[in-house]
Amino acid sequence: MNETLVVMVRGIIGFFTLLLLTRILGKQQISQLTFFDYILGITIGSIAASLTTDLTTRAFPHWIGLIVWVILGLLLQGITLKWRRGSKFLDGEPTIVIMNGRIMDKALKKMRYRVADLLEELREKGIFDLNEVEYAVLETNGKLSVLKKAANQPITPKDLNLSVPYKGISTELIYDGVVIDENIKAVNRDRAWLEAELKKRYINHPSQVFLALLDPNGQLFIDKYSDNQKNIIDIGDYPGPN
Amino acid sequence: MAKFLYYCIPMVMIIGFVLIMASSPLLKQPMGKNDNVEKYIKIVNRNIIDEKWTDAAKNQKQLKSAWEKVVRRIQFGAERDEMNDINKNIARLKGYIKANDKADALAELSELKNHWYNIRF
Repeated sequence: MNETLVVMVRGIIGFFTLLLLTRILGKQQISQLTFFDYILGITIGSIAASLTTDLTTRAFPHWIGLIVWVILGLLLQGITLKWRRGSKFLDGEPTIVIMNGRIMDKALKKMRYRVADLLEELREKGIFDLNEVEYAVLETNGKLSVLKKAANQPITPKDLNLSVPYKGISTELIYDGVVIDENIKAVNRDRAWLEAELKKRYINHPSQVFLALLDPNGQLFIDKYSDNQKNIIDIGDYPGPN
Repeated sequence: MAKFLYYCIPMVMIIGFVLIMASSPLLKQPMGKNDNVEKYIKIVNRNIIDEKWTDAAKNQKQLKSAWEKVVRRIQFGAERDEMNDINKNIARLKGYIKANDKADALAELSELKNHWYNIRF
């Protein structure tokens, strides 16, 4: 009986099972997770860890436990997607904690949320004066969404009637020295055009380029491997490795 | 083809994992030479009942060797405690046979049998 080998095999099983299951569970971002999703993630991870290292029990029951938790998680996801009332019951609802500039103290008490927590969340959003806030909503993931009073909203180009150029997503033309031909084709250009653009910037070969991006306005961003920076600013405050 | 592989690879992986984890009952069955644990349990049992201590000692060694072969195959799915208990049973059995202690040897063998049957799906 070779315990190291057994742990290795069980580790591979646990790792890839977890990988598959998390792919099945979906692409919710950490910031979008509700408190329950968070606990679900921790529990699934913990079961996978036991599956790997707890040799006192068979691997299969752990694995089944993992599958059961994921199936239940999927089931709840399905319910919250299809059934709005169920979603409200399972995930909770966003709660208004500041309305028309007034703190809803009863709502705070119900949520077991202290005023100090509210002020901290506001400060993290750069709001130090409560008078600036029109609405604040505590979301189901525990984050605070804030709507400032109209007078405190930042000015946008629209407010000033300014026309601004369109900004979309840039396309990668060279990545790590490799030209991506599909992307060049997708932006209706060709290699000859790219090479001419590189020549203009005194670059003889695409392999010298770390990253080349083309934005929707036709502006080319190029970053070479050799940066030729003479005075590199070190933001570290000690001489060791960053 | 890519879509087929996208679904096929995870399925194959899952099936492979289940086979590894749940195959102990199958893998404990005799597959080669001198790895029939159940047969040696029966032989040693008979030897002890008949008080043929020399034969019992010889067959206990065979039982140990058969178990060592089987354990290599079943270690990925079986419980470590169960396997450790069988190791202990075999070691103690050796002592009882040496001491010609029929009652304890039979008790030990009975416990060993119980652990052996517990290696299941």
